[in-house]
Amino acid sequence: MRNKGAIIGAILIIGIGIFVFVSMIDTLHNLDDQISAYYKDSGMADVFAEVEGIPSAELQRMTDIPGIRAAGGHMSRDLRILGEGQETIVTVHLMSYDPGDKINRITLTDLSGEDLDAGNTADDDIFLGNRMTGSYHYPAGTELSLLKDGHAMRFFCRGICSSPDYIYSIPHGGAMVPDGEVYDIAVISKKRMERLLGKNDCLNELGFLLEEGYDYDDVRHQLRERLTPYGLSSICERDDQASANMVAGEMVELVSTGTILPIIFMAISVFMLYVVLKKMIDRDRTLIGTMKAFGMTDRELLCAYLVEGGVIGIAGAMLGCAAAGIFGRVMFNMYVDFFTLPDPVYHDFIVSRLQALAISLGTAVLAVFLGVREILKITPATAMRQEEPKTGRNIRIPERLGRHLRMQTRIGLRSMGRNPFRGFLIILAVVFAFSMTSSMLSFMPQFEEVLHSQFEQIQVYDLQLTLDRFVTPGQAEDAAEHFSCPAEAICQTAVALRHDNLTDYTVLYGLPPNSELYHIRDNGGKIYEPPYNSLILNKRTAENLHISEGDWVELSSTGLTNGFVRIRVAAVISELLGRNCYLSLDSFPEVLHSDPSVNTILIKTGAEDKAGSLKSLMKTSRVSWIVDTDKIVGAYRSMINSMIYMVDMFALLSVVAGGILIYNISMISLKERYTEIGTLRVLGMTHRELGSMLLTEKMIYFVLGVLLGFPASYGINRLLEILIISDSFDLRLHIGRPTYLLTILICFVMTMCAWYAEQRLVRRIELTETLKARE
Amino acid sequence: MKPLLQAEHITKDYQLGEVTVHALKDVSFEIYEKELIVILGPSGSGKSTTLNILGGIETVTSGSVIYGSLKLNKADPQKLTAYRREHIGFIFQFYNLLPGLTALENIALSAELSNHPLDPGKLLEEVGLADRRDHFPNRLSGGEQQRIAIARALCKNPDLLLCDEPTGALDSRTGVQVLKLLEGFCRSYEKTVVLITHNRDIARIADRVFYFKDGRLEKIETNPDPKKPDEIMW
Repeated sequence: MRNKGAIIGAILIIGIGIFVFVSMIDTLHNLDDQISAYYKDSGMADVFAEVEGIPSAELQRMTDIPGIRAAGGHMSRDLRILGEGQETIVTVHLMSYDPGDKINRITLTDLSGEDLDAGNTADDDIFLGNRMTGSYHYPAGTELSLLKDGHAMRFFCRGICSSPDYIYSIPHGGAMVPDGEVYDIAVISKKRMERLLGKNDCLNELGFLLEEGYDYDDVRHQLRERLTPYGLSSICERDDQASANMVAGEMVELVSTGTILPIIFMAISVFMLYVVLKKMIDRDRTLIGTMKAFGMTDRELLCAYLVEGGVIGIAGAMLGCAAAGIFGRVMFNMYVDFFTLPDPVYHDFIVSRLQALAISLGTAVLAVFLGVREILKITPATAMRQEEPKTGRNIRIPERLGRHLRMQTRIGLRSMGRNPFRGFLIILAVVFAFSMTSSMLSFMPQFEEVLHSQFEQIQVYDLQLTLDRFVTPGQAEDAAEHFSCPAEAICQTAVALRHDNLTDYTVLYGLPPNSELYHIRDNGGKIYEPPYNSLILNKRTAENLHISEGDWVELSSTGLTNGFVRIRVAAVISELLGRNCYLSLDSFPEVLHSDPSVNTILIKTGAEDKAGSLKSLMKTSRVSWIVDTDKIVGAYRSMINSMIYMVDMFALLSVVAGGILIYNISMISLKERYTEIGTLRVLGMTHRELGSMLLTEKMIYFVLGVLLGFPASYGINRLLEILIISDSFDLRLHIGRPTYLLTILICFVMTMCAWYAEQRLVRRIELTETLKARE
Repeated sequence: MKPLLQAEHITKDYQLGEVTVHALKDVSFEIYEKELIVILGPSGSGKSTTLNILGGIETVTSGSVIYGSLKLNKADPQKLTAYRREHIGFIFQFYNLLPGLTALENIALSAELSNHPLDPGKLLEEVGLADRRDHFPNRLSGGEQQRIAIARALCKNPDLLLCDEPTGALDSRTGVQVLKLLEGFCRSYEKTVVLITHNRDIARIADRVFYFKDGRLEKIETNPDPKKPDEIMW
């Protein structure tokens, strides 16, 4: 096999491109298909509403509204759950289960994953969400208690539950990452739920299916009007439902990364394959001439090369597809860790593999065609003669500078000038490796910055206790005195914001003036005081509502306001994480027309006292759940580590692809200069001097590559920021000096490896052979 | 005359797949200082192999080649590089000028490699190309390129000038010009020149002619009356 190294390099490069393409596309398809199928099979609602309570019969009457096909709902409530092995307050979002449910149908399985039908469940069975089951591993029959108003009710763990509207389940005010140790969904029978809550047939979590041809805007006004008497607190379409929104956001990110990264890798693969095949065919010029002289037609010659290109394409596609099968599963499992799907199974999609094969083959065939067409045009006699040396442009080195340069340096500079395409290829390889690697490596510092900003400069408390009801600040402060450490009472509650025809749901933070445990801080580091009589709004929410500073917005919150109240927007701020709004607690009477009410206590325990505080809190009955800042940070880190695995993988692929490119192009270029190098050796130039000449060239390419790599990295980061849009965080990738230094070091090592390989090749050059050829 | 270089019973075998090619079979000769030697023979006779061995870019299979105190057959690659650098000038059929260097720089390259070089500018004048000093090889004719290659080889001030078919790619008029330069170098600088050709007419300028056939040195003829290049025609 001729050009073994170059061919292997081309196969590897195209394999990497195919690998990224297939693994991302397959992960996306698997998730999308299974989530869509789950939504369809379980009757995922098109419209969601929360009310204080509505009887089933009243709810069914909503189908009178034109466009509403079906209505359904659950009884639900957040309650503490007690079980063995718990070291902190654990909360479940408890939902009722009715076998007759048609909308947002809950799936129940036993602990081994086998489906259970309604007839098989007992009255005191409780089913925990997948994540909590995974965290505690309760065996079947384990006794678990639900706490309500200080009373414990006994249940027995029976199995696992999943619900389409809780694929991604996180508590209000907690981490954006699900953590089964402290929060998940749980399901009991409707009958038992009614007894537990002391309410009969009182549904509060509602879902509606729409008739075909109708959308949310067609029904929302009437629905809102009809549900208001039942204490409507929120209403939204599927896209805005918390879980669906998070899932859709993740999918959008996956589509973005699954598109842009494969495009970059495939583009570089296509280019590399073209270069390798073109150079390979150029070297076969004499052979082509001979074959033509023997009577071989252009078509036959083209076919012969197409077969060669095709083999490379197929080999690259096979390699990429094989690796993608493994990595795709890892990525899928990573997402399934965050999404609760009833029976997640990874499938290898034949379509994506066929697409990959088509891309790979198409690339190879195009590269062969472009490479061979010039040679096929020339006559056999011309082809059999050695090619005339290329008359490239020589660099004129200013005499003053030239005097200070060694001959090797001048030869190196002139060689670069004579064949700028060679240099361009190596520079391109360095730019690719540098920009992709630095961009990928910039994710981790960004995450660290988010964590540092959020948990050391904004949320500076250690524990957040969410009370089971609103109390006055005085009552909360009395309770906080128990901890003998800094504590503050705040209001943290879900609110609906309305501006013109737009509605958005967010979390309102009612903060005391000069709050020491929660700072309102924008991305620029500016600290804001909670405004009196007006609202500070997160930029993402403001954009959703088309609001700017000075506008008025309507705000509504169950238990806090009586319908919508008007409030002015004092400032719109950019935050890295979340999309909250802020108001001074003192202005509640004037703005919300309610007494200052709090439902959350923030405590700064310090590391030593935290365990003791948590232990004492286990005995309280008024705390619905506890958010431990360290746990949130831990959950974020755990999520980040999974993501970083993927990002690191791409960084590694960029390094490998860049390394292969630099090595291969260097080798191809050097082989084109056999005669020149051979002549220098015959003239008596030592290996050291030749090495120094090649090093000069390499270093110039390296420096140029790195210099061009800076704007390229910037461009890739901006592109990723545009593509990875999220409602819950701001992606602001910037590459720090350590990342740049690391990337420069990586590119330098790759360049030096290529140089080392060149030197080895120089030593192997047959001097007698090179002298027979014309440069 | 004092021998500059001695070759004793040298053989050179190549392995081509399963076939062993005997390129040189028991060849012995001596080369003296200030001599102009022409090696004559058909293709495959072993003349290029001999030249490459003399130049230290090829090793012998057996026998010895001695240059002063240096045994080329026992020298390591570093010593052979130093030998080529300090003592040998090469002229190739296809000139092998470095395309990235100007005419003058190509010559000066040799000067940088040598411990006792000649003046590159003066040599450029001697080969009649002073006005082409800043031209790159691709802007020079074949004859001009070969004259630059000769100047490059001479610039090192080598003890032994090895020329592999230096007129092979040139027309007869340009070929004569090239031979005049080589002969002039041999006579005026008192250096040894070994020249390969398959052209019998060129052999008339030599002091001695080595006849190669089938890897053997068939005979060595001494020319009692070497001709000037101007006097020969082909």
